[in-house]
Amino acid sequence: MKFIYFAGRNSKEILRDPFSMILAGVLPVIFIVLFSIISGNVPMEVFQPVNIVPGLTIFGFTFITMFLGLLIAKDKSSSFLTRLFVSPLKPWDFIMGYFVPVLPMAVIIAVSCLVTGLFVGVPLSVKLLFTFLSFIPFVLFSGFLGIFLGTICRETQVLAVGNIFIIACPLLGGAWMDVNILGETLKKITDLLPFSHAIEASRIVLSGRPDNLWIHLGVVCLYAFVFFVLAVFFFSRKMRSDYR
Amino acid sequence: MIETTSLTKRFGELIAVDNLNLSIAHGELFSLLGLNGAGKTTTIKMLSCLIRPSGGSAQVMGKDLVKEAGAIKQKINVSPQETAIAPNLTVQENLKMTAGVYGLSKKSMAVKINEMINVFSLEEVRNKKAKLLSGGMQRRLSIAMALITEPRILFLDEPTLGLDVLARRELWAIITKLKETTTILLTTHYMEEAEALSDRVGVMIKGKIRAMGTVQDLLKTTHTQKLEDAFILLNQKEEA
Repeated sequence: MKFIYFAGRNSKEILRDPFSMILAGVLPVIFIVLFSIISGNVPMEVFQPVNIVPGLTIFGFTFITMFLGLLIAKDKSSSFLTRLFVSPLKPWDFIMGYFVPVLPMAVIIAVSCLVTGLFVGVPLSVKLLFTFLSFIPFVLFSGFLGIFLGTICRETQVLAVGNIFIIACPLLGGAWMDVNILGETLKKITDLLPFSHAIEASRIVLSGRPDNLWIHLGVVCLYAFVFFVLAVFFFSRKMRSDYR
Repeated sequence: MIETTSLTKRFGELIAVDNLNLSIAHGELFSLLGLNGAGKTTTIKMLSCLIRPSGGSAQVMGKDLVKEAGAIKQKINVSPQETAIAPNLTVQENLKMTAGVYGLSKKSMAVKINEMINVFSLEEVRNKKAKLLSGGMQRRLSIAMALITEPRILFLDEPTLGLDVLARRELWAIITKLKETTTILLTTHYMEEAEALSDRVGVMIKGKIRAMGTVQDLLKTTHTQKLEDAFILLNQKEEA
């Protein structure tokens, strides 16, 4: 359990940057309130609380990728990681040490969005708890993608790719619009990506409609697994590399 | 404590360390001197299991450098050339994290943290974030982080680089004290540092050790009065 101490350091590095927590925790909440106001004037299905809350919670999780990627890229550029590579920590300890801090951050984002949802019309029921659980595969995906990006990219590259990811997720995932309006080709692309599946899975759980929940969750789990493997592979390679 | 036999490291066409044969005894402070690119840091990186040798072999505390890296890592520590600290953590948190990743118990962790804070005079800044410390303080913290794990071998890669005269002298005093319990391999550009601290020195030129022994041995062999003169002479001979 040596990684716990390393994970503690990473939590502090992320949480002691108030700007990051404001972005990740507060921005989705502001959007939920804004869209609930818009839904009063534009009665579209996608703006309904049971649809907009899961979409924007998933959007909030995308910040995890950026923060984690930046943290690792910064560590790589200093001698700090060199010091730790000399320690008895194994690649698995590093992956866990970087991933564990994601969990409290994800809980803060999920709880703040779901609680805000209650104020804008999401009914209080056990479905909220199941919706919370349905977020897990996307949190895993976001975390492992962040570790992967941080390992292979420099700080400026993480910033660029992270920003694209943050913008692409709600747009291609249909967080605040129907993905069908993107056209047939783009719709096919969104079906291949995890974003719309993650949002749709949480919407199915929160609204309680009978639908293909497991297919959507399965796609996100597959992405999480692929990026887990990539993160472990590239981080292990980085540890053995002559050029750090 | 450290035995290398024809230890070699190649980066493509470049031979950074060339057939290094080195023997460092328990409790000895051995200094590697050399110009930039001589192979000092690469040697430290190999002996601290950071990079794999391209050839030759090495035994560290009787264990094979490549096959038993895990066991070696538990007993060594390094203070890299650049200050290696977690900037957003306090002095105490940095020390605690390092002790934790090496598996120290909570009880001995608390004792060691206090000991390091005392030895390195960090009491006043114990709860201050590392990024807010002066360069000298950060360097002291970086070395304290290497020592909190009670390593049997300590690798110090240019420990006083960028420090002012006073901070350098303070660090020398600490390193001198360490010699009583720890085997130290130090790299430096400062000849007076090597003279003041080392039991033996090795002059590294283009990846090879060109001269090795006590400072007195080197002065005798090169017929010089100062280590700096001996070092320059050896490098000029190589160039010629």
